[in-house]
Amino acid sequence: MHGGYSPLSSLKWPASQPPAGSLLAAIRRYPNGNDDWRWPLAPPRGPLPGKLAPRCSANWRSGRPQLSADIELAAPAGYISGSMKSKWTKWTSRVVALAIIIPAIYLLIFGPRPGSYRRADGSQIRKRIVVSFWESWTGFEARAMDRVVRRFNRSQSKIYVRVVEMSNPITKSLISIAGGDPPDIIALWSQPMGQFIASNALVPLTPLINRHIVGEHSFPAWIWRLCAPSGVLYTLPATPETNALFWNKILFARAGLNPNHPPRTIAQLDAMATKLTVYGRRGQLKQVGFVPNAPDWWTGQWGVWFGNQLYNYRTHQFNLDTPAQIKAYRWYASWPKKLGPNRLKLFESGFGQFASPDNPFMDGRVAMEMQGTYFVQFIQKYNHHLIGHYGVAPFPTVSGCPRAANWGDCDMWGIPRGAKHMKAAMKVLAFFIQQRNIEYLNEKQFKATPLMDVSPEFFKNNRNPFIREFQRELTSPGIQTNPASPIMARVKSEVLLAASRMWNGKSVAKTLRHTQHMVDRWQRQERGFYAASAAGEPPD
Amino acid sequence: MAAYGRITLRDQFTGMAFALPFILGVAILLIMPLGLSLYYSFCHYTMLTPPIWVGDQNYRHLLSDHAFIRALINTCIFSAVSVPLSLGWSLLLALLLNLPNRLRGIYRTIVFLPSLLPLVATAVIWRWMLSPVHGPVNLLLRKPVEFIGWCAADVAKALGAAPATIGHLQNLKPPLWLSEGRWAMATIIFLSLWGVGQTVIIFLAGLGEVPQELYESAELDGAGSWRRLRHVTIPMLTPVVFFNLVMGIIGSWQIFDLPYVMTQGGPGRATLFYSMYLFEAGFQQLRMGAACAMAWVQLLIILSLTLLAFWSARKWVHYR
Repeated sequence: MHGGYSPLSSLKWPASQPPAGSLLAAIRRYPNGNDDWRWPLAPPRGPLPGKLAPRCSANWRSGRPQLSADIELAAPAGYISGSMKSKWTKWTSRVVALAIIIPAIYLLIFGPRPGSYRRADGSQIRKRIVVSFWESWTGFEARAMDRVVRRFNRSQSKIYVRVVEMSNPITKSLISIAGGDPPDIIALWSQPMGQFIASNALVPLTPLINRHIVGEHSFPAWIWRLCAPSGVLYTLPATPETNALFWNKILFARAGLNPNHPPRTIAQLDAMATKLTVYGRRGQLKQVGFVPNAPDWWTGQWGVWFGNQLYNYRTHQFNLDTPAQIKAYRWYASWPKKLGPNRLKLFESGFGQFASPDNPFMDGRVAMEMQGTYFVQFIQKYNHHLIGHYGVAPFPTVSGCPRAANWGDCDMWGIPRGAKHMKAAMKVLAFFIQQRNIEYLNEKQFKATPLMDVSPEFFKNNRNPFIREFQRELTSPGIQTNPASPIMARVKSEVLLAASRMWNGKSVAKTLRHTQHMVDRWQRQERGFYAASAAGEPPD
Repeated sequence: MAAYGRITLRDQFTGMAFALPFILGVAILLIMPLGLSLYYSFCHYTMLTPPIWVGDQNYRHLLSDHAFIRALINTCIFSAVSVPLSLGWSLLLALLLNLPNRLRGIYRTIVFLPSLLPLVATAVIWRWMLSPVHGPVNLLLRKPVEFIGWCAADVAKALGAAPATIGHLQNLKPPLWLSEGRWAMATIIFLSLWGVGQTVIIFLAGLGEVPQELYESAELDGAGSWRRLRHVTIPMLTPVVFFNLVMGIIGSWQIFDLPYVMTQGGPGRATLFYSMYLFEAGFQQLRMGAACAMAWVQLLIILSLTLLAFWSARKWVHYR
């Protein structure tokens, strides 16, 4: 307040004293260093400029301050008087209060009720159990799922499935389960399965087996192991995927290669990739035949095509430094050496998004790529000129490795622990897994069906021209997938880091040994944690 | 006056009634989570199963966790470089913006504007700006860097350098900002200077508080601009510098969103920072016990650094 001006600092309070126990009395005792009754934080210092004739009144009897309403100042011209100010404040606070209260009352009376949601056609869902379903798909994949859900909602009048599309559903699901308010059905895939099971976060789907809706022989063996890692069924498979080599026939022809003969072995792949690599005038890469980092989604799995069994289901050990794995990553780490590390980094940094016309395979910068079943639909959407000019074949393997080697994964549905409508959710899942519906979903997503029984209509209706190859691949005995280990997320993160180090020139054998050592230690720690629990058994 | 000296029971209740929301808020939202996180830091806890008491295992495992050590080192480097750099840069900007100029208001607004942008938006824009192929930064840098490379190669040739060195210089290219470990860290540090607007505003407020009479007496004593800055402005600003230093240390140890969006901790773990690894351990790997242990270690580190700053302040901070 030094030299400043404040209307409050000029107040002289009446001689009458506030009653003991009132707020004013409490404020009065604030040690502001003045003998006079003032605002504790605005002690007046000396006379104020201007002619002020303070007149103030406060209603002591009510015991409430009402300062803003009662203070009146005779202020110089141009200055907003206390009463004007207090009126203004009063009206503002009333308007603000009404702006909060009226919508609150409206929401209370007319707002949403549990169990009553509006359908897309506007009709109200009353007296139906609403099953909430968190799914991770977007775009055409989400639309396909929505159609199946609509089928279910039309099929009966007791349950209504409400779909919530979201990114990163795993973390959100886990937090919602921990918080005790999960949805009724969640979407998940292989990597977090171990965490979910070890944490008892999923409800066993045993009633579906008891009613013979599904069983071990309904699915290929690797999908069954994914859904029932310990023999107990926890999830149902939705859309499986396996990988294949996609090659650009135009670029093959341009490089003088037979466009109908893709590589069958890793050595052939290397030789063809060299022929397909094109350098620019300044030595920069313009096109590459193949690069394992495009896309980098399978960086941790290259050992599969070199004959490595990534997880031993008998000993529950990860195999990360076997000779086959070392061979695989020597091959992986050879690419930056062959193409020039900085040149390759520069080239890769120009790759666009996967789901865009800038995808390096779609715009012809990469001639061969490993991709999944779904890629066919993305090609149709983002570069239809490529239709008929690309081929799909099993990914090459190293000589001596079984030809059927492949990596598989599967989107799944599960019921989280704490779901409010467990029985209804079970009925919904039983509907989803019916052959007609699961085939419809996969057909619309251009994927193979997870069921062993495939109807002829599925092949007839599926617009994926390579669906028979992908369906055949799905039952191949050499498919590996993520094991249901509670430390899978850490293992994946460590393997990716190791791959990045090897890519940047670190010793392959040493890096993989270190990774194996780390992973073994985590497994021991994890078992130790569970052993410490009275009821706990090691989750593996 | 004497009548006001005694506190009645009703006074006490009134006071308590007013203070109760705050007390409850602190107890429920601060003290209870703090206590629980301390307890969980001694447990194996996944959030989905009841916590299992494991003693100090979480803390001991941290010492052998390579990712944790990497995150710790990265955060130390970031804090040690970015805090002094951002303080110096903000002070320089504040001094420039304090010069009398008709467009001063506009300049101040321009400097403050980046602070208004959400960090995620800033990160996305900069990721595109620094893209080695399509980004404008490297497009602008390419020709000058190549020119410098060629000149340096000529000099190296004249000096009889090895052919590999000459070849390297001839192929000199602008950095791959986010794809190379050392550049990625430097880029994150550089980008942390982007949002110094608030620090600049605090410095400007501090500059406005420096008494004019001190400048006048310094001028009378024959002090020039530099000496006035050195012996009047900076000593008078030390409380503000101290405040910004403490806030900067705390902020730098909590850095998360910028590297999370730009690099996700990569390449490798070159930009994995403490809070990012804590989040990863807690919410992605479901090791909430370990994450709580990390949080407590982080708290202790920040507390120690702040206490160190307070201790050193006695020697260099001048209060009026």
